[in-house]
Amino acid sequence: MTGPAGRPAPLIDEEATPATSVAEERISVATQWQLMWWRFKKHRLAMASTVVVLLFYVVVIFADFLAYSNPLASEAQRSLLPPQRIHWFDEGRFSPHVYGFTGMRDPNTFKRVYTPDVNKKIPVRFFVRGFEYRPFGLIPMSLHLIGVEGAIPEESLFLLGTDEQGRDLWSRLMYGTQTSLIIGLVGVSLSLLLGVFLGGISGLYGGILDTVIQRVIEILRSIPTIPLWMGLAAALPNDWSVTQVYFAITIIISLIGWTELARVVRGRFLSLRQEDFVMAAELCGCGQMRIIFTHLVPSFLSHIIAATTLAVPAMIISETSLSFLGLGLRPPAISWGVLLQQAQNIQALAISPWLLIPSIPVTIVILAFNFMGDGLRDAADPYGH
Amino acid sequence: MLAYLVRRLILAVLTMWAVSVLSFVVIQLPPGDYITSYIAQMSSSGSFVSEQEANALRQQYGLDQPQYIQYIRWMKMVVHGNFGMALEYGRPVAEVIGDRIYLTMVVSVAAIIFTWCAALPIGVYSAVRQYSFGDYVATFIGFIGLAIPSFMLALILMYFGFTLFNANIGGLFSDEFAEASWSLAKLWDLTKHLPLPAVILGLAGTAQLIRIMRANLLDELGKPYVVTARARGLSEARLIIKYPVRVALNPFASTIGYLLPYVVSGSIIVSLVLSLPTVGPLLLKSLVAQDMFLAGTIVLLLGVMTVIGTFLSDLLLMWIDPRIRFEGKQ
Amino acid sequence: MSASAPILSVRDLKTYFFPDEGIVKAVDGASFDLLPQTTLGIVGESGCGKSVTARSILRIVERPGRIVGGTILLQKNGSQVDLAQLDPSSPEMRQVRGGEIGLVFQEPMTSFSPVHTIGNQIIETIRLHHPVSKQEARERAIAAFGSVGIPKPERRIDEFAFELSGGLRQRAMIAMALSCGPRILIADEPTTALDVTTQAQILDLLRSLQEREGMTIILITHNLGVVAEMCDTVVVMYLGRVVEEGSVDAIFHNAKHPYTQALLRSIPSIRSIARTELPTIAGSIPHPYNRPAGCPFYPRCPDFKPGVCDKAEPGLTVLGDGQAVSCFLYERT
Repeated sequence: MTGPAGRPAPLIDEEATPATSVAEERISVATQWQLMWWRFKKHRLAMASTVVVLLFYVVVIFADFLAYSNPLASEAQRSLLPPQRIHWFDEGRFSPHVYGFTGMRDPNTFKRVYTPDVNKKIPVRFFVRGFEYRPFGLIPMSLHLIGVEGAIPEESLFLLGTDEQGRDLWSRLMYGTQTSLIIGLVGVSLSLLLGVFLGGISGLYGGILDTVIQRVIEILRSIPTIPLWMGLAAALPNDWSVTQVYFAITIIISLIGWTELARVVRGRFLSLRQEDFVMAAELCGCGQMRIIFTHLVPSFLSHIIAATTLAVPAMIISETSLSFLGLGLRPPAISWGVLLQQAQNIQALAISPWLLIPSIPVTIVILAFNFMGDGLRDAADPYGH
Repeated sequence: MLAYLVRRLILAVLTMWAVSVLSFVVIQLPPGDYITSYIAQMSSSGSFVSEQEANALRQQYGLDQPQYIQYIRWMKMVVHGNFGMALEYGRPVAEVIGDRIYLTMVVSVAAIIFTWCAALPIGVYSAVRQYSFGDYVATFIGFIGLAIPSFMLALILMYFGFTLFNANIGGLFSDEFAEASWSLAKLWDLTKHLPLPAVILGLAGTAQLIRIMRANLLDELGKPYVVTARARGLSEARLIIKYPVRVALNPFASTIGYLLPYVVSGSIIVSLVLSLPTVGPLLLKSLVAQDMFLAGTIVLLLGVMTVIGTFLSDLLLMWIDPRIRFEGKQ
Repeated sequence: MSASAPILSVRDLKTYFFPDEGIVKAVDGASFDLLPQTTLGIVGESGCGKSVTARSILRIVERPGRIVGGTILLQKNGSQVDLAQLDPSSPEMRQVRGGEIGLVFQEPMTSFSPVHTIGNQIIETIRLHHPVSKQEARERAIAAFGSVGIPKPERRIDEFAFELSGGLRQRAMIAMALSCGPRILIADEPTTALDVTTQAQILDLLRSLQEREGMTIILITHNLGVVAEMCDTVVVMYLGRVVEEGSVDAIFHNAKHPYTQALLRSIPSIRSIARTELPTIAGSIPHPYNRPAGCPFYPRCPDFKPGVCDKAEPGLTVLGDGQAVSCFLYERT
């Protein structure tokens, strides 16, 4: 049978089935942020890392509650105690406790050596009243997650051991985490402000301003900057208060990271400026401000968020390094770097390896922020693929 | 090509000037000046400096002049190789710094060489055998470098070295050679001690570079000239190395420029932990003691050496990428 | 060996891609014969599988794709080799690439390495397939450049791809593909990236090469004008299947498949009545993951027969005189 050749094709074929599926429909009407979220969700490592980061910031908020010992209370008698294990059952019953210590002098090194004393069972309770604190500087509270009721200095809880001055490391680690992460956040925010401002001007207006800013960024990138920041930090007068030093250090480390952010922002602005939709907006008569905020900003916002997240680890490393050197935060301030400073002496470290424990949260947080930033960066351009 | 060279040269000179200004700022930053510290030092050792003497000294050193004049004076000194006196040591700065600055560069360059040798093959392998077991191992190594700041890595390794092997893994020289004058034997001793600091310093940059190489190579692997090479009958291994790796090498090579300052920076802190006889520990001590001529000079020298190193890497880049040679021709 | 035995015979070729999202049947049962010293045109819209077919022949299909079925029979030294069975990285297959079958791409700029001279690349190819010295290879390369009409070949050979104009680059590409004397040349959209004048020159070049060297050419294009000008036989592909094949005259004057007819109708003609709408093909190419069951063309076919076309896939029906069509309208029950 031969077919009807030469019959004109109808323009609309009612019997043809539409090829788009439900999934395609959803994709085509989703907003930019929804698309980003879906891409981000697929990146399981990034999702897990975000959870980790959020957990860390829970610690930041509840540091007082999670600590059980006044981080500043030094007690020479408890110097360099090793970490205690919590034993959950006492003769079959659920009764968490730790063993107290008996100390003796090691005849060889003349140092005090502590051994757990099985006879001294110190009960551990949850939601205990301990030292007083003021969350956010408001009402005084004294509830802590874990602790020993009515603790006396010699018979207390030391989950991570003590440092050379007898201060409990777990509590200090809680406060150290709080400080380091807050500085990291504030530092990156300042960097972001500086970076967006300078990078924005550079990318948007071009010309001489762009050349100058670009050269400045290139110069800063091509010289070793740690000596500079060390110099700056060392120049802080010795008589400044802890808070003043705190702010100054935050500003110093924000000066470390702005160049990267400025580069990203400038790059984005430059490429966006050429886009047709910007020209279309101009032709419609949109003013500069409207073009910037309504049209340009949403396009690069996601990239900026990704770049900022990736910049946080550098902030944390900077503060930790500076404090480790003794040039950053000064006692009685506590940060990860300050805690690690105690581990500088290798002989001391050999006897008390728990002093290195603060390096674990540092590593975890840096990894987490990196993975999170990676995921954000991959998801940042949902229309890219 | 000439335009490129000239551009990079001008940038290098500009950067060195910026470094000198910044170093000068570092010198002048702490409250008080050279004379204040001098007086403090003198009084701690028992002598007393009167107000008159102090002012006379100030005039002599030109410390009563406005900042920019002082800067010019300092620059003039520096250009003649006179870096001033190191307060605490009572000796000229140049003497105190001595070999340290060269050793700093040696360690930094060693770290960069390690970074390259590690990142290049790992990056290539990662891209070509995506999602394979080797890829994951490589990525993991990269992440160690990324997540652990170099000084922490140094601390941890020192701890294990000490407790497990009862060895002190720090230092760049064995005891016999530490103070000895340079000889071939000393050079060999140095080479034996270099790998550990080089790896510790270089690991952080390795992670970065592996990522860059992997991303660049993945980009290039899909391009038509790779398919054409395959269609011409080249074997897979050969064509990958000759073509896309070569092209992906360009952005890779340009990273040296920013790797060097990063590594030099890192070496400051790592050399403290590992007790390396480089500029790091000296810088820290001078900053803490507010020995500003010493500190400022170290900052200046570090900057200058880095700029020179970066410029050399620019020349290298020019040799690798023919497209730069042709810039401006058409 | 009779002159009408095909030099290359593709039978029921199936090349599928296996990305995470699903299976893409890029080529789903394509069959055609290539007669020596003729030009075969493979036509179709973008995404119909023409390029994948070419790459399948040369076994350079990239992951996550691979050949899952069919045979590709190449006449070699008096016997037949099934290219589909060879290991893609084997020396035998690599010898076929460039040595027996050459490939010319659409984008001459990006087909050359940006950091090597074109001479370097063509000399490398020559020495890969023939045991000659560098000097000898260089001379052959210069000769190849000359034969494709590149002026001052001894100078051009040391230049980089970005130093040549578009037309010269395409000639260089052709020279490189032919440098080892392959009997078959596959040209994948060789003129699409060129302006019309250069297009004509390149087509002339291809034709003269065929006459001079007795080459067989597979020309892949979506441009029916080029097909009419250059080809002896035509294969029309849609969604990975051959829907019609035949001599160029048969196809252009006596197209049988509704798709071919629609394609031909949509060519703007100088003879059409002014002020009438240009006929188009209804609908659009389905999403690769959403292939219709049965005949791939039925959703857009004006002659769609419900219950027949959406149930089974039509086989290739030979209509005589070398023309074959894959459509239920012609299937003998």
